[in-house]
Amino acid sequence: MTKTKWAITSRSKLITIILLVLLSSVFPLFSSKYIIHILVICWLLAISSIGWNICYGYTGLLSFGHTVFFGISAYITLWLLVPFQITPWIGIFIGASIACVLGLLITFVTIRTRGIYFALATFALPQILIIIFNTFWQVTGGAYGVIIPFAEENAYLMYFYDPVFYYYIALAFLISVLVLQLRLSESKLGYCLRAIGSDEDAANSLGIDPFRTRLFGMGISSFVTGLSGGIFVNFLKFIDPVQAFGWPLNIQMILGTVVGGVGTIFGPVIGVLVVVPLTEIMKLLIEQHFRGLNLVINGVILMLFIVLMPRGVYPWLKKLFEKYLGG
Amino acid sequence: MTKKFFGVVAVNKCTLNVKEKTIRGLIGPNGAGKTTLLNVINGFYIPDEGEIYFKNERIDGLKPHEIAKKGIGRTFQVSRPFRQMTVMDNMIAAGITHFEKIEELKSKAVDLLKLFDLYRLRDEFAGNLSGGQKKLLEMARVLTFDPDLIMLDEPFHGIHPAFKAKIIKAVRELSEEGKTFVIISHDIPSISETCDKVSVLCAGEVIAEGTPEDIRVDQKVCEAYLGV
Repeated sequence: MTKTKWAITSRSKLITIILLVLLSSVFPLFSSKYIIHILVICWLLAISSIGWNICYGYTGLLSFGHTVFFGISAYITLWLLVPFQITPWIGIFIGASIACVLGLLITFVTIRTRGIYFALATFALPQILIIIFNTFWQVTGGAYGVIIPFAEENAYLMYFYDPVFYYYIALAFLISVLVLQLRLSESKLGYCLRAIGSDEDAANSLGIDPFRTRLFGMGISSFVTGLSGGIFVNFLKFIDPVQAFGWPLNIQMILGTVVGGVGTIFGPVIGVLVVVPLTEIMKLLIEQHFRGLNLVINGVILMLFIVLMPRGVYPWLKKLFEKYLGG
Repeated sequence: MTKKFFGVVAVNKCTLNVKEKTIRGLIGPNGAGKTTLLNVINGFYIPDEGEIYFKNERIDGLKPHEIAKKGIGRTFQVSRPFRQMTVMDNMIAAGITHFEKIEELKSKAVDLLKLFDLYRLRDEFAGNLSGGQKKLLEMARVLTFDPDLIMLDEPFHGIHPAFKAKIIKAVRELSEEGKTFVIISHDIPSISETCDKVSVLCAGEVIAEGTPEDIRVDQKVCEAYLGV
């Protein structure tokens, strides 16, 4: 007896995205506001993780500074909104574009560094920005942060009380970014990025320009991460330098991708759907009884994921799927 | 052409003329400067002295990807496939900057994979291939963008005789189609079987040139290899 092999083609990936959209669209009808709030965080973190995935998973650049793009975009969106009442529907893209320019600049400056040296170069950037933003508190609000002060709901200003609106906004952006990532992986640039990420010298000898490729890759990566920051600040209605640039977000962004599957299309989304709920569940079950123990258990569980599924949850699921449905 | 690394002269006033549509062997003891010479031609290093010409156009100082666009391809001493990409994706990545239409590229990739008997492994990750298969993939990959000059660095090293025979056959067929080859190898029998002419490098200098038969009996070559 022969089985028909289910090849995970790009068409099937697109179908998967459509099915996820349909499922995710009806989910809020059956969920509490708390669950919806958590899922909004998941979608936004997934967008950031996809941005980081494009940087590391495709280009091979290990960045410890991606919160720079998130945070800059968040602040730009906020500064356009609060004093100038420029709608976030435009402000988010302006913020992400500025994040993109910053990404290009950082790549230009660090272009000769590779591997761990690039990681070290980007490591300092978020810390520098936290210090700058805390220092110039008259402009940035400093450590106290900035609140979006509107009193009434306003669709033009993307100001809603019910998190379900942000759920669908974040979901729409996530789906768009997933489709972008899918198109990228099969495009000329996508092949160049993956080749450079795999072996830069070999790619160079085959006609692929590493400098231009990296610039494009980093530009897209920082733009995508910036989108997340812009939506985030509207959702939370607040931002401060640690929230914008700090290590907790940096780690979650990286962890989501690593747990889910680096260099894969759906890995960052799946990874985030593991990391965020796990953190919340540990907090609810354990933190109130043994403060801090939830973080330890959280860390151990995530380490187990990485040890048992070193390539990530998504490749493991894909293998399982192909084993039972393929030939 | 000369190339130095912090006082160590890796290639010392080396002059090499390779005629079009020929197969040139490049042999020499370890540390003779063979791979360094290849790396300079390929653009990974800039020569400290001298010039490099390809089809009457000066190419020293160009970057590797620019040199590839001129029509020079190379393989590496230790195979360097794109490990996390499938065999087919390796081929597509190799030609992606040289083809306008992806369908043409895919068709070329399929033909080359069939030529090297790798088509059945097209969906396999390159990192999972055997050593010999990786060598074959690297050679198939470099041919994707149809370079006029192909430089092979130790293509016969550490591989099964069956794979060796495939490479020799492919090199001969492609040479008859008009390609030029420079092959670095320690495998003298394979070099003798494949090459029209052989250059011998020692301490960064060309010490002998001639047919494989001439080289075999050359006194300087014996001294370089045997130290007598």
